[in-house]
Order: sequence, then C-alpha cells, then structure tokens
Amino acid sequence: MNIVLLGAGEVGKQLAYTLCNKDNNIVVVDFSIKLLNRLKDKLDVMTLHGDCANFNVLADAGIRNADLLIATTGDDATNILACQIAKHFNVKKTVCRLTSNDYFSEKHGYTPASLGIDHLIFPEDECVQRIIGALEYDIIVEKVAYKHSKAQITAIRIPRSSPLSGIRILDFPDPLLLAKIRFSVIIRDQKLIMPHGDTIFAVGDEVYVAGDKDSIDSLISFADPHCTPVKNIIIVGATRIGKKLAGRLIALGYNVRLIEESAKKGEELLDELSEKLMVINGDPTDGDVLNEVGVNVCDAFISTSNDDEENILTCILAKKRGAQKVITITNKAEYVDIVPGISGIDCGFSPRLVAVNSVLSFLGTETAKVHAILQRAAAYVYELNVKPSSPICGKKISDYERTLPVILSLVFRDGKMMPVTGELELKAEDKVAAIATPQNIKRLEQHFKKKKLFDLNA
Amino acid sequence: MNIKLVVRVVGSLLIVIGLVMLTSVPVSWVMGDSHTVTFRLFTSSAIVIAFGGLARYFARGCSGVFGFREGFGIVTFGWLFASIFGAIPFVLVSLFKWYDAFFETMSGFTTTGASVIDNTLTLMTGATLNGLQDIPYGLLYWRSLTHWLGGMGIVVLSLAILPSLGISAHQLYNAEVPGPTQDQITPKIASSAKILWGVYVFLTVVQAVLLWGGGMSLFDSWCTAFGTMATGGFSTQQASIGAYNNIYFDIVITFFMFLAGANFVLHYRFLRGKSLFHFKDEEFRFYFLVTIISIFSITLFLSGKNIIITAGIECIDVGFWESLRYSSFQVVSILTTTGFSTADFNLWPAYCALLLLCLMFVGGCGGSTAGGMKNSRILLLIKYAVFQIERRLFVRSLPNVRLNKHKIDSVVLNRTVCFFFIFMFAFVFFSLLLCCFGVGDIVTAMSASIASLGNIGPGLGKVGPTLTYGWMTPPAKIILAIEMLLGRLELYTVLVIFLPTFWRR
Repeated sequence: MNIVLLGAGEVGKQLAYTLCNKDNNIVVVDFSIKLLNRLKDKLDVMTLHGDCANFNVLADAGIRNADLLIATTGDDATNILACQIAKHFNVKKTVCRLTSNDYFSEKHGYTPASLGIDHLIFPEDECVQRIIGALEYDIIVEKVAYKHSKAQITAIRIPRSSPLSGIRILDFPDPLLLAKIRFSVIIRDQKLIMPHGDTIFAVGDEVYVAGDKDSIDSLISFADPHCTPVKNIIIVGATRIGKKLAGRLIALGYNVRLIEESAKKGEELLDELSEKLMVINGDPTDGDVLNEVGVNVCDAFISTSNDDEENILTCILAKKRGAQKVITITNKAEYVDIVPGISGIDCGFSPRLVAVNSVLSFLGTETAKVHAILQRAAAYVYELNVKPSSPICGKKISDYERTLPVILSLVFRDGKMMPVTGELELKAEDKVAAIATPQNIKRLEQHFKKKKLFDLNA
Repeated sequence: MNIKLVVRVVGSLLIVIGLVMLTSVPVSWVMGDSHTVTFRLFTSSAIVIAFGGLARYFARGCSGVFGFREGFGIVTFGWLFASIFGAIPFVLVSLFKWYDAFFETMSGFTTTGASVIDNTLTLMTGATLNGLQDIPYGLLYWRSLTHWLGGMGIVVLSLAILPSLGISAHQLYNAEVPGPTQDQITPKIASSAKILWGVYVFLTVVQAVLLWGGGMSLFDSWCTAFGTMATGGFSTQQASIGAYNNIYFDIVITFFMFLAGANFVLHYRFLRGKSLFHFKDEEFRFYFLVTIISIFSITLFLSGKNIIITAGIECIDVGFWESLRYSSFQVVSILTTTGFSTADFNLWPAYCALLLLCLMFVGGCGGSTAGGMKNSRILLLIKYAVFQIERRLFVRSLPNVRLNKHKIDSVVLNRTVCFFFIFMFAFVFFSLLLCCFGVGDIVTAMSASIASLGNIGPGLGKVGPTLTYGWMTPPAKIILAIEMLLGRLELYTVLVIFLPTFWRR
C-alpha cells in the first residue's frame, strides 16, 4: 500500500513506526527537516520537506498513486485542505486528524465527505473519553469501550485486602457472574500472563476483564467492597485535553477544579468554557497550591500539561500528598512504556497512542484489525472476523482454546454480544475480540485465515 | 472635545424634539383646548425648532469623527437641552415657574414620573393651580410624550431616524442604553435602534388598544400607554391609576409595566418566533423571581389590613385576592421604576413600604426602559460577592463570574462594583443635600433621593404616592432633576463631563 503521511510529530512518528513494514511504502511530509531526518535514520521511509497543504508538495510526495493519506499535522485547516487535495487525486482513503467536530454540520449538509475526508480522528476527544472511562471507579485503570454495545474490556487493579486476592479463578464464589465475564489478560510485575482456571489473583495484579457493563460493575464491587464512585477531580493544565476533560467532566456532574500556572491561559479557558469551573492560578508542583486545591481530599488527580516530565513529577507529588488516584498524560513514546512501572502513578494515557489507535482501527487486514492499543502493556485489542473458511469456524471454544495463544474475550454475532462460554460455537461472520501482543497476533490470525497450501508461517 | 460637532448634533436633536412636539398641536385642537393653548403649543414647537436650526447654522460645515468625548458630550448635553427646551410649553401654556417646568420635563424625559403638579403649585402669575384638571389636553399629551421619547432614548431615536449620526454610533448607543453590557442585534447600530423602536412602538400600540377596548377614553389610554411602556409614571389623573379603580386596567398596566422593565432584545427575539426565549435569559429569570417573591410576601403582609387606594376610598380588611391586586400592581410599578400607583403604600406596614423602597434600588433589566441599578448588575454583584467570599479559602482562584453562561470580564465586574459605589454615594450625598435645602425628615429626603436617582417617581413620607414634589424649594427641585439625569444616563456618561481632561484632550 502507498501511504502519504502528513506531519512527523509524535502522532506521525508513531504511525510511521507502526505502519512501516514490508507491504507499505510510506512518504512522510513535514515542515521540519530535523524531525524528518530523525525519522529517516530509524525507518525505511521516504521523507519530503514542505508545506503539507501545498498542492505541489503533495504532488511530489506521489499522491497520484497513493492509496491512503493520513493528515496528522497539528493544524486542523492544513489537515482538511490536504484531504481535499488528496480527493482531487482520487486517493482511496483519507484520514484527517482534527481537534473538534465543530467544523461540520449534518443538519446543513456540510459533512466531512463534502470536504473529501473519509475518516475523522479526534485524538484529544478519544483520549478524554478513555480517561473518563478510567474515572468511573477507583480501581479501574483502563477501559476499552465498544460503540453501540454495552460490551467493554476493563482493567482493574486488585487493591490491598481485596476479597479477590488469593482466589483461584475456578473457585470464584459467584459462578453465575463468572459465566458472564472473561478474564482476558493479567499484568503482573509488568509481564503479561494468560489466565487459566488455576491462576490465583494477587494484590497489585492488573486484570483485564471482558463482558457487559453490569457484570463488570458487580465484579468491581466484589473486588473492592469499599469502593466509592469518583466525585472530586483535580485537573492540571489548561491544555486542549485539560479543557475538554474539564468541560466533559462538569457536564457529567463531577466536582472539578483546575490548576493552571499561567493566569492568561486560565482566563482564556474560562472564556471558552460555558460551565462553572474553579481555576486555581499557581504552580502545580508547589505544595501550597496543591493544598489549596484540596489534593488530600480529591478522588482523582489528572495532570494534562504539555510537559511530560512535569506531568509525571506533579502526579508523584500529588500521590504523596494524598490524592486517591493519579492519572498522567504522556506524549513521548519513550515515556509511555515506563509510566506503568512508576509506583506513584495509577494510570497513564498517551494522546499520541490514542491517535495511532484511531488510525489503525480504520486499517487492518481482512481478518484482523486493531480495536484499541492498551495503555498499560504493549498489547492490542484485536478484532478478528470469522470466515466460513477459517479453521476456527464451527468449533466450540472449549475444544479449540488450548491451541490458541490468547484468550477470546468477546464474541459479537449480528452486532449483539454473545456470552462467551466453553459451549459457544463460533459461526461465520462472528466478530471476536482478543487481547494479543504484536508477536502472537500472527499466530492467532492463522486460525481465522483460510489455510493456504504452502504457507511458510504455518 | 469637538464642541462644534456636539452643538450641531444637539441642534438636530432639538429639531427632532420640536417636530414631535408639533404633534401636540392637532391633539390639542381635536381635544377642544382653547385656541390660545393650541397657538402657544405651536409657538413652543416653533421656538424649539428655531433654536435647533440656529445651533446647526452656527456649527455648520464642521465635520469630524465621533470620539468617546463627543459621544458622552452629545448624550449628556442632548438630554439636558431636551429638558430645557421641552419645558417651554409648560411655561408658555400653563405659566409654570421655570424650575417647576424644568423639573417636570426632566422627570418626563428621564421617565421618572415625579410631578410638581397639584393643588398647591403656585404659577408665575402668583395664582395657584387646581391640580392636573387645570392642565390643557395638549400639554398633558406633551407631558406623557416626553416619557415615551425618553423611554427608549432620544439619542437612540435620533440614531434610528437620522442617517448622518450613523458613523461611530457605538459611542452614542453605549452611552445611552442602560445595563452593564449591551448585546447588539444587527451589524449596524442604526438598524438595531430601528428594531428596538419598532418593538417599543408595537407594544405601546397594543397596550393603548387594550386599554381603550376596556373602556378607557382614547386620550387617557394613549397617555397611559406612553407612561407605561417608558416606565415613566405620569398619569392624566391626579390620583394616578387608582382613579379608575378598574381591575382590568390594573392587570393590563401591570403586565405591560413588567414587559417594559425587561430587556427589549428579548421581546424582539420573542416576536421573531423564539417562544419561551425570555426564560433562557438569566437576568430575566432573576427579575421574574424578584417580582414574584416581592408580590407574595407583600400580599401576605397586607391580607387582613386596611388599604386606602389613591382615589381616597378605603378598603377595610382586604382578602387575599384584593391584597394581591394592589400588591402586584405596586411591586411591578416600583420595581420597573414606573411609579404608577393604585394604593397609598406610604401607609402600608413597615415591611411592605421598606421592601418597595429596596426594590427602587434594583430597578428593571438592562436594555429596558426602566431605571434603577438594573437586575443584571445586582445579579453580577451577588455572584461576585460569593466569589470573593470563596476566595478567602481559595486565594489563587481566578475570577469566574458568569451571566448566561458567559464569563464576565473583570473590567466589567470592576465597573459594576464601582457603579454600585457611585450609585450609593450619590444617593446618600443627594439625600444630605436635600436636607440642606428644606426637606424636613429623613424618610422623605432619602426616598425622594432614590426615587429620582432610580427614575421611579413617588417615594415615601411627604413625597408618597398621593403627594407630589410641588412643595419643595427651587434648589431641591434642581438637585432632584440632576439626580434624574444621572440615574437615566447611568452615572458614568454624565460624570465624565466633570473630568478636566474631558474638555482639555
């Protein structure tokens, strides 16, 4: 596939890393030679220096023969214009990164399609959505939701003195509940473990559970009987994410306070927001400021400033001062891996990773595509399609499961969620969700692909 | 300040006023006034137009751009000269002394509705007047018309009809239209002014027709409509609206007073088909709440008491509904700063009278024809006060005061706080001054001061709803007239004239 990638920032870089393989020819366009050179040193891609919204630059980038254009520069107008130019050259698929959906109006017939955009991605919005998912209960560290369905994959961290710790999965006291949920993956000491019947839960395990919302909620109340819903939230930084998060959380009825170091930015935030929000003007790493905003009584503390180092340090400080649950935003790819290892930080989210996530969910092969990138481990939630010719088609899960490298977490049939038990028989056109690492997805995919006669990977 | 430019615009303003005054001539003729009255009304208009023309002639050929200074100058001096020249018919037709005539006209234009006309007023000839029934119809009409012109603003009227004022009209518009912030309906100020006047005329006509249909005489219904929609308060009856003693009139007038006290932009949006638009506005909700709470608390207090209506009839041991009738009329009349009265609230229990006095400070909504401090300012001040209290705990929090979900700029907040201070200072200062110039008791001095500063009209004590300002000394009348102007133009516009740098550049 010929791909033109606009923007070599964090999102572009991540995408280039993810998409660069033997099947794809990638051209990266950016204004900054420095960023392009850094990318070229590492990856087998072509780079082009120039304005991403310039017709000639795009023509030079080979847009005539491109199959896919991904516009991920930080500027909305540039991205939209680039997509229009791409459609002029009949590029098959255009993906446009935007900060807000306000550019379009269904009512007035002004749709993304009329501007030549096939797919829109809103990294900030989705990141905010992910953070809100993790805020529902104290012990949730990550939540992957499915649209148009109550299905979700939720990661919970087993707290100290939890009734769940020390329990073998087979001995789970509520067999009815156990039948409705699937323990997909356990992360213990930053290592992925495939749970099976004999696995014993331990304190500090991060358990990914799949199922419908009600069952997962009852599991959570079992795992943490004292858990209280999150109510008071402190946000640091009037950044785009901070702003969106604050607006959304207030609308959801949370009690939100925001710390911003620059009075001007704080004023601007208040001008933009239509909700009543308390903004404290001060340095978030200053103990007095943290005390004033009430860090010791807050249920969640989210640091969203643009500086990764400051976010991490602020979060550790907040945890020390008694914040119940601290969440940080990181942008650098390098930091995404270390955040789960920092003991003072409960969750970390990377808007860039989410952006890559949104692009990947449009791509993928016939049988498998990425639904979500997990933030806690180097693993993906894949969505696999069962074909009539797949080896797995028509088999019972209990018969087949032993041969699989992963656990099948959710099964959708005709858009409806099916209870995943050993007795379930997979049929053609079923969609299966599973958590897998990039290494074992290849092996998993074999079971969904048609068997080829001379398959080297088999 | 470009004085010539100001003179020229004020001249145009006077011509407009003279032309409007001319309409009292046919009214006077139709209503059967004596020919001398009609002729003198005509002479008055001619004098005003002539002076306007002269001013324009002397300042001819000057051009220039309106700055802040010219805007403030035009509005302040426009109002001042309108009141001076608008007083001419009172002097020529009914032989008022000059300060009485000036007081009456200023009270008219500023929609205060405080009157000097009663059966004790001495004229230039030394004779005493018998009250309103001695005033010829043509002059009564002009008296009510001054309300109507002043209600929506004479400068805004000129903006609507004089295209030459269109340039830099923002200065003029903001200097005259009340309220802490103005929202604009159309890109051009002149068309906004036309729309506001259109709504104003429409509501006035509807009210006049409703009153006429209910049995009021045609002349009275028009004059009452003028007084209501402008939140003025001049009535054609000495006993004000109480003279009719008619529930239907009370209800219609209460309703229209309430409308006149609300933002006219809301009425415009409503007439454009946005139903329930009023209640989306935070200021209107506050205004509505204040009205309802005041009405019911006063109603409860009055039930079972005796009420004397302004026509002199005493209702003994009133029930709930009768109590509601008088209290609602009086609350709306005072809150919207109209100043009509049906009952003598001066004799009501202390709570009721004091509450009405407090409502005088509140006034109507921004963008209405009402006076007072305006509901939006009170609401802003309450919210700002809550924020300041909260700030004791959260020292570093940023000001976040919101009106209709929009954050209010700290510049506007500071101006509002300062407005409150100047308003209260002026109220106290002028109360003291009144005591120096012959007002004998505290209640009268203070209520007269706020009734003029807030453009209400009747106060308590010796300026109660059944009494007038006729007994006051000439200096006291001039002081009150100045207060009315200050209140109508919302302090800043007038006070800026007294800055030395205003004149010097």
